[in-house]
Amino acid sequence: MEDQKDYTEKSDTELVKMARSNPEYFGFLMERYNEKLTFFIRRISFFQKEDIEDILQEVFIKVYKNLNEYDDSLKFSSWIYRITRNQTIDNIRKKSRHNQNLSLEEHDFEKFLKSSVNLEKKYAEKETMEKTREAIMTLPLKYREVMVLKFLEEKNYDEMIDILKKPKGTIATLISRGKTLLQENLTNLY
Amino acid sequence: MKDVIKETLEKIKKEEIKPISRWFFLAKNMFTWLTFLCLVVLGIISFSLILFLVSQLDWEICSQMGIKLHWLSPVFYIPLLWLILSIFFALLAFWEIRKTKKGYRYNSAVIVLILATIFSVFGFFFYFSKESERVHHVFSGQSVPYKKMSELKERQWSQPELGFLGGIILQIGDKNSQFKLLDFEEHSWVINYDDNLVVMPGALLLPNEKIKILGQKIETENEKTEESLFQAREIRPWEGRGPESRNCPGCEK
Repeated sequence: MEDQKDYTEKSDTELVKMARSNPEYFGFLMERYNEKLTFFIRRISFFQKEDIEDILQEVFIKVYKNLNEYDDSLKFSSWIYRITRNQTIDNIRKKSRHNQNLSLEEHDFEKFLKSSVNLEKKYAEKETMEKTREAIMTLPLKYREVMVLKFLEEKNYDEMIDILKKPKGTIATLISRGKTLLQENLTNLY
Repeated sequence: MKDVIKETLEKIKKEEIKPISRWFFLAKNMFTWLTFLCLVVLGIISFSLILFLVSQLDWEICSQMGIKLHWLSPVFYIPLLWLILSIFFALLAFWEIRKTKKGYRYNSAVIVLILATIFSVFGFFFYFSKESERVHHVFSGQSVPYKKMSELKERQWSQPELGFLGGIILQIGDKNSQFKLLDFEEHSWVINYDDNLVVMPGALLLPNEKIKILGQKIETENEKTEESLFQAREIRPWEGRGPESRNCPGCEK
C-alpha cells in the first residue's frame, strides 16, 4: 500500500482503477470526498448528523459496487455527487422528514443569500438568520438542490448537468425560479 | 460519532463486497441501445403504414361515396391507430435514449428532430419499397379486428348503385370490351367497357387481379346467368389510385 503522500498526488480516475482491485485504495477516495459529501447531504436534506452518516455509508458502498460503471469521460466528482444526490433523495422520500430542523451552517446561509439573491443586507444579519433559514427550508427540493449545487458547492453548469442528469435549459430555469421563490419567501417572512 | 470510512471499509471486507462486473454494465448499456433501436424500427414501420393507408384513400371521390372526411371518419381509424402507435414508440425511444449513459446531455428538441427525421426518411423508404404494404397484409391476416377495419374499403367499393365496384377479375372476355368480375359479396359481374375507358397505371386487366371500377350499373341481375352488368368508366388498381391515367384500348392487358 502506498503512503499518504503518494495517494494525494493521484487523480480520482487513477484511484478508481486501483480501487477496483483493492478496496484499501477506495479508502483514499472516501477520505477525499467524505467532508464534501457530508456538507452536500446536509445542505439538500437538512438531516441530522447520524442520518447523514448512514446515507454517506450507503453512498460509499454503492459507489464501490458500481466502480466498473464509472466512465472516465465524466468527472468522478460529478459521478459521486450524482449517486449521493440520488441516495439522499431516496432517504428523504423514505423518511418524509422534510420538516426536520434546519442544519445548515451559518456561513452557508450568508453564502447562499449573497451569491444567489440580490437581497437587502438585513436578510443576512444574525438576528434575522432564523427566518432566513425558514425561507430556505420551505424551498421545494428541486429548487433547493440546484441552488445548493450552484451557490454552495460552486459547481459549473456542465457538472450540474452530469450530477442532476438534466439538460442545461432545465437547470437554468430551476435556478431562476428558485431565486424568485426564495425572494418571495423572504419577503413574506419580513 | 462514527468513522464512516473505517466502518465502510470493514463492511466491504467483512461482507466480501466486490465491484459488479464491467460486463454487467456493458450488457445493460447494450440492452438500452437495443431497446432504443427496436422502438425506432417499430416507429418507422408505424409511420410507413400511415403513409401506405393514407395513399390508399381515393380522396377525390370520398364525397361521392358518401364519406364525410374528418379526423374521426371510420376511414381514418386504422391510420389513426398507427399514428398513435408512432407517437407512442417515439416517446418510448425518447425516454430510452435519455436512459443511455450520456443521453441526459442531449437537448430534447434535438432528440425530437433526429427521431422525426429518422421516422420520415426510413418511413418513406419502407413505403416506397412496398414493405409497409406487406406488413399491412400480415396484420390483416393475423388480426380479425384489424382485418374487419381494413375491409371498410371493400364496403366502400361495394356500392354499384353509386357507381363504385371492386373485386377480383375472374376471366377476360373473348371480345376486347368485356371481362367478368367477382365482387366482395361473391356476386358475379360482367363488366363492359369502350374506347373511352381510363385505366390507371398499376391496374392490370388479368385474371385474379384485384381492381376498383368507377362506372355505372346498367342492368339488374340476369336470372339465367345470375350476373349483373356494369359499364366501366375508369379502372384503378386495388392499392392506391395510380400516379397517372391512360386510356385503355390499345393499352397492355
